[in-house]
Amino acid sequence: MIRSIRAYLLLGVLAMLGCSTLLTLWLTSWHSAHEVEEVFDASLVQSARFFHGLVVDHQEQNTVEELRHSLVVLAGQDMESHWQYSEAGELNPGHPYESKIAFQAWGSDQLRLSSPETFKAPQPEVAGFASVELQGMSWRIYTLYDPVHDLWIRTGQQMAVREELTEQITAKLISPMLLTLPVLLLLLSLVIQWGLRPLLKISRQLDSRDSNDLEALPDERLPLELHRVVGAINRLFCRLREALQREKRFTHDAAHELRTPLAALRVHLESSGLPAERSSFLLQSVARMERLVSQLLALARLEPSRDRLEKSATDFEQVSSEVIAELMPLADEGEVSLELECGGDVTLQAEATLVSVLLRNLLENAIRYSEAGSTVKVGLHGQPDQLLLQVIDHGKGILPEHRQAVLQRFYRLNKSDGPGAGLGLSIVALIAEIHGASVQLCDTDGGGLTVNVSWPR
Amino acid sequence: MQLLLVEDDTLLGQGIRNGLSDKGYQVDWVQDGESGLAGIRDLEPDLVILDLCLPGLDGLEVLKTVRHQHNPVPVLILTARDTVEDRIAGLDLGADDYLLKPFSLAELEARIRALYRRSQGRQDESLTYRNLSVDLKARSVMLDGTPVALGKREFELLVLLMDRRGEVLTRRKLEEQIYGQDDLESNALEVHIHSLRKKLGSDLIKTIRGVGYRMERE
Repeated sequence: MIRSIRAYLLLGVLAMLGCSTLLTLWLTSWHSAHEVEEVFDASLVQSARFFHGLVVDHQEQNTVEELRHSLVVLAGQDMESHWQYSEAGELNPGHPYESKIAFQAWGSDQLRLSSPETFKAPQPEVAGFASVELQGMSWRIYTLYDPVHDLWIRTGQQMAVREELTEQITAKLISPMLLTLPVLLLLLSLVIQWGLRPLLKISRQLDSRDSNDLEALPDERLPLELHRVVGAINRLFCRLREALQREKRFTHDAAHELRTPLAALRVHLESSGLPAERSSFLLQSVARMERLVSQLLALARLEPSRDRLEKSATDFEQVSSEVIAELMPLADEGEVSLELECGGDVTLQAEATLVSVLLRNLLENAIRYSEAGSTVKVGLHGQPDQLLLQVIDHGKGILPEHRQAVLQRFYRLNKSDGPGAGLGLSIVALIAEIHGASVQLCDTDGGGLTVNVSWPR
Repeated sequence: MQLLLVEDDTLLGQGIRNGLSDKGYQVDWVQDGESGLAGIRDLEPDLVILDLCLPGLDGLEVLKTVRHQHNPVPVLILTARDTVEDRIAGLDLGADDYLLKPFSLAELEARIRALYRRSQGRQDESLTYRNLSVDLKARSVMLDGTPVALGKREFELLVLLMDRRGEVLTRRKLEEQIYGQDDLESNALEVHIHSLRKKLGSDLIKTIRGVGYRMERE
């Protein structure tokens, strides 16, 4: 399967061109061989008649020896030295091809004359054309019978002469074809490239796009074939755009629809004047609902950003400081101290909002599961190949066999263990995953949980 | 203190009004943007609590109009949208603070008080915190009635922390506010904090290690 339209077209046209060229050559050589055959056969007949006339004439005047002399002795001389036409005045110009043309005269079952003398065809029995093998050579022979003088005249021609002519004609045809082929190929390649330019243009337009750009591609002045493709792409973009907007609107609406009644519930509860021991469970339930809602919304928002992460240089120290400052009221409530420890280069390509969501979830967990009076520490350690973010608490920790499970949605170790819906760590895992970061849960020295998130550079 | 609450949700509006009235605030409550604008103009409240998601005129539109009329009334935004863009949009349009739903009444009240104090502080040009009082106009500080001499940067730092008492101010934020674009030595902030503690008491400013500083709520 060829994966390139250009290569496909090029190879296809080339194959067809090759086939038609070969066919033309074969037909031409077949035709020319046929024509050559006819011309040469006719000349064989003519020569035979002429030779017959000569032999009869010389027989009647008893000068056959003279004829033999001029035909055989002169021509039979060293022909190589005469192969070129001599200068004017030379008596016996010859040609090397003379040996490829032969004459024979048989009379009264006797060979009367043979030129050249090396021509050893057997005594003729029938008149007409024949193709024979003589001393390893193919010959075309014409035999003429004169019953008046009981004379057999035979003219012969080596087939090689004819084949050579046909080959020459074919060769003369091939060379221009072979010469034009590379030029043709080059032109063809350019034409195809030119023809595929709109495709290249579209792919460049798509490549240079921002990942959030779902605007339609321009479809004016496009070739007919691409019109449909671009149309389909644009319709897809349109659907995607709508889906994303719907999703965004949904999370917005859901945020509003869920948070406003929750806010009302809390405000009414707080001003209800219920004694603390009655209201505290209600307030805890509300707190759990609140957290669940914000985590569900965070998850809903995370899914679409899986493929459309907007990374920028993010100062993890700044993000961490802000998250810690924001969570201070929660820490105060649990009488937990928060600390940030920072070392090395802690700036990394990431989506800052998501980093803060990740850290907020880790810290909320750490604060909730910490004893009053203990400290939760956030560590940032910039290393050449990665950035290590640590959240270290001194709470109860998580048993090794549960560590994999807590990273999944809605998994809670102990339902009675304070508020939370078991979504926090799965949000952490998802944010880490879309950044290519890894999450590890380990023990803190002296008890507690340490979460390590390694962000590759 | 007279408050104007612009909140379309009946349950939440009622809850906030009841809760704040119990604490002694005088609360006027309207349920859409147009009435909100009219209320701000006619009632001249000390502070506006503005929900962003309103029928008709949107909360951000109300805010834009108010600021366009050069009305400096402090505005606290209530929003259910927690994305960074949403928050920035509100603050850019001139909101003084925002509170994400759901919130506790105590938090709302603390924010109201802080906002009010800041707006009043700017008018009265004085701030007090425990046994400390600061005259913003004269740039003088009194501890238990005794004047204390502070450097320019120390004074600005103190006012900033007092103004936002209860909040943790990150080192970066403090440095941006106090030193701006000036070149500063990396420990300039620590030096000034140390000096403030020496002059005004060691438990005045709390350190959040690695993060920043804060003054606790009274």
